[in-house]
Amino acid sequence: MSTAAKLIRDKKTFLPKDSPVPNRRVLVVDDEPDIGEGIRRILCPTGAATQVSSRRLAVVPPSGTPPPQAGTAPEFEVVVVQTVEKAIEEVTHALRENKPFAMGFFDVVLGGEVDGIQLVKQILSVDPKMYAVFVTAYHDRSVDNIGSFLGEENREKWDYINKPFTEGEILQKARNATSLWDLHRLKEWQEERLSEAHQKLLQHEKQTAVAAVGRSVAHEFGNLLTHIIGNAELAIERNKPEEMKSALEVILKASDTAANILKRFRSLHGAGERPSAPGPLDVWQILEEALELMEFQFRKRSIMVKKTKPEFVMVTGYKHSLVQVFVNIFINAMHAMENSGEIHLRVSESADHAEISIRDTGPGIPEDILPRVIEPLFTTKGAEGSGLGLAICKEIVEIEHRGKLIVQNHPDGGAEILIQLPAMRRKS
Amino acid sequence: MKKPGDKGMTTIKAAHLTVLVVDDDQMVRQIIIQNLRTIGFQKFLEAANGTDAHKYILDPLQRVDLIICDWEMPKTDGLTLLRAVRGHRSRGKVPFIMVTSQQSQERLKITKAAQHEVNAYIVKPFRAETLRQKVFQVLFEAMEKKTIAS
Repeated sequence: MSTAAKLIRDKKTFLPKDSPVPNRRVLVVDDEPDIGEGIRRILCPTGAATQVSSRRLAVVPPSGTPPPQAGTAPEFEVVVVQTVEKAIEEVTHALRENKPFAMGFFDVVLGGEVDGIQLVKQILSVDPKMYAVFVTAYHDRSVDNIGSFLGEENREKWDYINKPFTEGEILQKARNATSLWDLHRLKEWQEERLSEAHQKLLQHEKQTAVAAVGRSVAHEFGNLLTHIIGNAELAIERNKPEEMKSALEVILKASDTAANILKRFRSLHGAGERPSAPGPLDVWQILEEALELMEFQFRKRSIMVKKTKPEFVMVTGYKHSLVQVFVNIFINAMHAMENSGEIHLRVSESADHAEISIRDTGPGIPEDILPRVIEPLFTTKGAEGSGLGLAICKEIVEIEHRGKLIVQNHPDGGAEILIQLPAMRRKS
Repeated sequence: MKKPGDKGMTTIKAAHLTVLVVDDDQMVRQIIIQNLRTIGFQKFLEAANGTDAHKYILDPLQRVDLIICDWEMPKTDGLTLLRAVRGHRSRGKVPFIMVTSQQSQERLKITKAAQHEVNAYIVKPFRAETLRQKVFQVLFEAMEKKTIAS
């Protein structure tokens, strides 16, 4: 048994319980019952006929086969059929029962209009995951012919064995093909888990940004509600029309500010509910939205934001995602500078893209870790960082927006994040 | 100002007391001040951050009888100011009311603040009645401990 097959078979020690189970189901299609049964005896020497359904032919153990040992499970579960129709029926039935075949041995000449190769083509259209091994003494169809008939897409789905074959060859082919089937299922299963985990991490990262901004929102709301309640109470107590009017004006202003904060916060939180198509966006407007979300934290840490003379630059993109990118980068810059510092923002435009530079006046990124900061799960923040911020920013910029995100140290000190986005149009 | 149930025996002369109000939001400072004016306070000091407030603390000629301070502010925050006050030679016992807006971190904050002897805390947004009650409460407690002059 191959190492991979062993690994899969011993999966209970390596993989979670819900990982795919090994599949040792083999279909044998040969119009000569003796050959079909011969293959079964090789693959299923322990009298395992009782394990397959009663529709199967009984196994006559060949002379010299050791008697079955009690409690030993056979390596393979074999179904033997003689006709094309029966073969298709078995494959379809197996799929329906959720017990697909991992592989099959196919005689090339089946005595009817349809030969083994045409049958395999039909079977692959029903169950594209199944592997086929052709058993042939037939020279009209060369191996090349099989390949061109089954097509490039099935190139790895088949193999062949010449008659007369040995027991060892049959066992080897069956083990190889079933192991391949297992490996592919395991790979699919792992990819699904990876994709699920990726989705969860994206969600987590978004929540981290939302939580960071949420603390600012809570603070601002606390203040705004204090304005509203305080002015209302004082106006009622004093009961003077002119003071009432000015109190009401303050209240309305505070309410408007609160509504705006809520709107911005929702737009950050709703990054998953983005429109299906990217829209035209003013880069500075996106930056301002992200800055407004960070305003309190910047103020608290005495972080100044310096902008180069604003140039009106439009890009095509998803607003919520880009706000999330800028908030993430601002949070990183803020953490890099601890208390007090500057964030320099510059937006420029070339023929085909807009470039946004976000630079901090922190210590910069040590050269030895610079190539790694963009890697998922890399973090310098210990348990507090998920290590996903920049990796997700890169994904949003490069995959979602077909742009580019570069992390570098600025010649004048500090870290600089350069984001290039496809420009929309120039307007002066 | 009379202590409830004391039948006028213990009074606080609010007009004589100086209240230091520290908040980076000017409107919040004004609301606190206006509310305290309605119950007789007349002398106020204002600071927009802990650093400016600390200057009043360090000024030996400046009277400070009560501090009402926001927790989260730029530069020096409320907790840093509280520590500075409690560590001060002559002002270590000045009543200190902490104002905060973040409910979720409340427990941690109160525990931390308690370690440094904050006298009361107020959560934003607050009603005038809550503010006045807390101010009464800490001033009467301080008077009983004779940490401020009545």
